[in-house]
Amino acid sequence: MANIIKTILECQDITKVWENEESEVVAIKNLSIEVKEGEVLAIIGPSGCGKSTLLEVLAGLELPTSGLVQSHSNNSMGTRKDVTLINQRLYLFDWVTVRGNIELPLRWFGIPAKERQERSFIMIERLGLKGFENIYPYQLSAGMQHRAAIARALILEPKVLLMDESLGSLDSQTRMLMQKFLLDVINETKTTLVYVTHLIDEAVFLADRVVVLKARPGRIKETILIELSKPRDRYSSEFELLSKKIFDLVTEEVGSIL
Amino acid sequence: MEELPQLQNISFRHKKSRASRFLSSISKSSSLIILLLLWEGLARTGIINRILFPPPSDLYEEIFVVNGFGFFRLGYETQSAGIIIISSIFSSLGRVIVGTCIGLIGGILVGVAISYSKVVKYILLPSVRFLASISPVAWIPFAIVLFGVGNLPAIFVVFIGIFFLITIATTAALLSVDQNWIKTARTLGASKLQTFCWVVLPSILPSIFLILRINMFAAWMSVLAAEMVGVSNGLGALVMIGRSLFNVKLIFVGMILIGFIGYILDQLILFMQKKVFGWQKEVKLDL
Repeated sequence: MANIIKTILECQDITKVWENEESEVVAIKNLSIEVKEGEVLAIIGPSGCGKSTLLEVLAGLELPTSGLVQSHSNNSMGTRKDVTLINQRLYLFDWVTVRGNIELPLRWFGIPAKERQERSFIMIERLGLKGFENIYPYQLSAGMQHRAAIARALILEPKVLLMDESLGSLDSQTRMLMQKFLLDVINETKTTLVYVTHLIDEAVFLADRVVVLKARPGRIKETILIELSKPRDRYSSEFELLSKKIFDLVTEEVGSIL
Repeated sequence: MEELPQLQNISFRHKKSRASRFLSSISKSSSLIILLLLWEGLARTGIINRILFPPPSDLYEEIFVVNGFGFFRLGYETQSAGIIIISSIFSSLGRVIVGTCIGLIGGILVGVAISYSKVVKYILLPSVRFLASISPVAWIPFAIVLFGVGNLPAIFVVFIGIFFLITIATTAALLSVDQNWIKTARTLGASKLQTFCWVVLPSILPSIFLILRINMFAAWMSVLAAEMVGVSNGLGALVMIGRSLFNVKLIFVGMILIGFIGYILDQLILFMQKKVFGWQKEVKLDL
């Protein structure tokens, strides 16, 4: 079934080498990933395996040293962005209000004030930020800050949303609620999600496919399909079986670098 | 869509009651009040020379009573002339404000040019570093030779005091901007210019303003020094006239005004800082 669904973003055989005067580090080596339209793809791996680098390459923020990154979305609307990345630390613009944050990408695309207002209003409602739109990011709770960052990323209706362990900084209860919330939002907006994480249960809870990366330099160790229906029950035996399988794969890799 | 429970309340700044604010302002000014009372007492009892240290009550009379508000006697209780406080204050303040604005804008522009162009950096940065270490006051003789007596040398001296430091501060701040801000802006579709105007500049402005506030005192001092030497009006000139004519009251009035205006200037920048940078997590600017 997965073959019929079209690939929306892919990288072929990419290698990324970070260089400075003294040393060079191979972050990713000969890695190929296909992201299918509408799926949630989780990328998991030991720390330092080039997960963040991979996302930056996919987002077009860094050029790969070799290899090819391609986006296959039919971008008909000028105001759309194909791929947007949410950093682990969100990087909300502290100097503008929540609404200002959400409207800035629209402003950068030259959308007139009236339409900006309408679109940000819808986004603020959808993400439950109503009543918080006129305060500054530092005044928001951690969970609300994540919602604001998601709202800002989705305002340009990207086809693919890349998230770099974004929920990792939340406490476990808020994180579980936000995971569910995130799934609802990307379902509603029909956004494809690529989610980098180091938490196994997060990957199994969110993803349709989990890619396990090898320790540095990052290469694909295994891809696991997760065909449980959503919303998933973290305490079901299937869930735990899959978690265990991924845990073993990741532990092997962590073991190899320790 | 399901609503999440509110996990943390939004924090609003705690507001003090009016009474406690009044009390705290009294306690803040108590050291000044004690100084004034001591001075008045010592001068009245003749322990210190009343002509060399005219007590506050004499100064009050000098400013408000003898020739009407703002008019001083020149010389020692012999002649009076229409030197007006207000005009002195405004000419000094005007020079500081004009010099500071030019210095601030110029410093930011040059700092940005240095950060974004290697050529400009190699040409300008070493010179800027060297010139920044020359005290603004040391520029006064040159400024007078260059511009003659008048407003320009005083404005120039203030400009010198602000410009080089702001240039260096801007360069340093731009160097330390977190690259993830820029990446975030780019992933949200900002062009280079948009990234600079909306993201880079706002993120460095607070640190530049802090440098500005610290150097405002230096600028205020240097304009007075310039007025003492090369300009015929302003607070610095007022104090110098007092010296020439041995009118110690005039000297003291000038000094008190200088302190007061300096304080007001600082409060003004503090107010601007709080208004403009209210978005910062911690605004710890009050000394």
